[in-house]
Amino acid sequence: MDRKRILINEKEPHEVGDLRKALVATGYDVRIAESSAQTLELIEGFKPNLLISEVRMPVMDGPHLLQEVRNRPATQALLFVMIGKLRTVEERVNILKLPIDDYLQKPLDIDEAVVRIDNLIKEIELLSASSQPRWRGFNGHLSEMNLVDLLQTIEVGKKTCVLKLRAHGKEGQVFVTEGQVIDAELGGLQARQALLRMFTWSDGTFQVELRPHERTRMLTIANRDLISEGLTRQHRWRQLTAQLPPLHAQVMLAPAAAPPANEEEQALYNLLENGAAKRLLELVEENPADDLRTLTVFKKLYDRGAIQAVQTASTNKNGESTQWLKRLQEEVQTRSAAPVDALFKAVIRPVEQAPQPHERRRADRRQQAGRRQDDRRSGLLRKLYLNKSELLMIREKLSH
Amino acid sequence: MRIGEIVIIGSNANEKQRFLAALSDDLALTTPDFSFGRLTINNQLLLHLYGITVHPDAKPLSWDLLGAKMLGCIVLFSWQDLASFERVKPVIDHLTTSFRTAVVVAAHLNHENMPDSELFHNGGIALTPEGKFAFCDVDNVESARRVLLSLIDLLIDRSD
Repeated sequence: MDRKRILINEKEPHEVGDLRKALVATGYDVRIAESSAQTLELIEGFKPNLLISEVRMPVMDGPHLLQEVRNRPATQALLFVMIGKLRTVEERVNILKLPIDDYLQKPLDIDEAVVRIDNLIKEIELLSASSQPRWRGFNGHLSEMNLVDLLQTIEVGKKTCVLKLRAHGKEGQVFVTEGQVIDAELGGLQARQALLRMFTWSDGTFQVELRPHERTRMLTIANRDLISEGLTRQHRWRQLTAQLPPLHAQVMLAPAAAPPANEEEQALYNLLENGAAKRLLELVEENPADDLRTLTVFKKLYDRGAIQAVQTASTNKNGESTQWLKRLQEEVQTRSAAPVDALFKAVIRPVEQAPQPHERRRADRRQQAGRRQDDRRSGLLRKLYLNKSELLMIREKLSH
Repeated sequence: MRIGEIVIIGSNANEKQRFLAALSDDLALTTPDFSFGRLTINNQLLLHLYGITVHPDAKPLSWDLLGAKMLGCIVLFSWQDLASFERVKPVIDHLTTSFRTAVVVAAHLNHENMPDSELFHNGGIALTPEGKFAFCDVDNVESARRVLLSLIDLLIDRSD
């Protein structure tokens, strides 16, 4: 069986003489390079299984050598152990934040160093044997951690990774470097467009691969702004979907639908032509426009009665709104609720007089707008001192 | 650090305190009339939760000062003791008419008596643009959070 190879980058070879002897005695083939340039050269021919480098090297120091190694496809997964005489905890913590596999403090405890190096190499052998990928990471379901949660977590840890999201039969990728999102792709969508689409995914799976990548930065927006936009979109998505048939409900053009008023409406008409019934989610996915925009246009058509839900036992056209009023009244009537009943009476009209959902919302908005104007005149409107993004952050936290 | 202040008003000191305990990461102060807890949202944002008991023997409070300052308010009463609603009702009236404060009126029910209707679990029932009604179980973290979530939704809708 081939001996495993270890390359040591050390400007003072005598400082690692004992380590070399101990590693050779353990069964490794060990070579020492006295500069980072020589190390890079040797990597190609010697093909080490593990590289040990002193932090402080002339010309190209350990962290720069690491960057070079990680940037090369052939060596991006090479085991990398840093050694050095870092005096402060802060310096050591900074080194440990780099994508290295271990750090050993000089003067080296030879026994400890050999065991650690041996363990790393064996760990990789085990991973290779079980055909597992070299990268580490974690995975889960988007209903438990959505894209916003994931980006916040990755940002805090300043991780470099590739984040893969799968939902609705599609796979998207988000590329993160040291906690910052630098690019994304989803089918034909790139960068921001891809990311915005994936922000609304709440049903699907994710996989975080903690590994370097060679993606070029296409996104220059700060994570905070991206997350804020993501939260806003999630909220808007929830608002819209709450007013529409379920996303899995089948929808179709109404038999006597009026002609489309614009190109956006025409696009949805085209997807539903010849009496085709489609799931609302399919419609959103198939329409090339932004998903929120598609839902907004859909809602207009739905409110106008141009598109309708295909009635089934579980969904009906506007059943939900009248149902909840009925259920509310039934619930309240079954309890002796004198004061609370009185509270409700002011706002609940009899079911037969209940307006259509869109009419009720318009009326509410008009009422609210009117009140706000009155309030401004009388100076009563209190200024909210948390902004919308902050409120959305609170919402996000409470929803989990 | 940005701080949002939310007031929880109840006529029953014990129920109000249990509700606050269910919501807070850190219940820093509890007295019969006044309790205080914190809920950390992230490293930049914190909610301060003030619990205030409204009953004839409680210390008088300047509702005008509070009304002008708070982000929103949760008013608790016991569904089994409807007289408790009468005790908090003047505060609701004052806050909503004078300050247009966002208010969620929450009726405490024991968990086993909670209606199984989805209506009572998802976001509360909108009464007016300022107010919602919700059922809750003051001992249940999830239930208490849903009430707070209803209040936050009211505030988000207003910020649109």
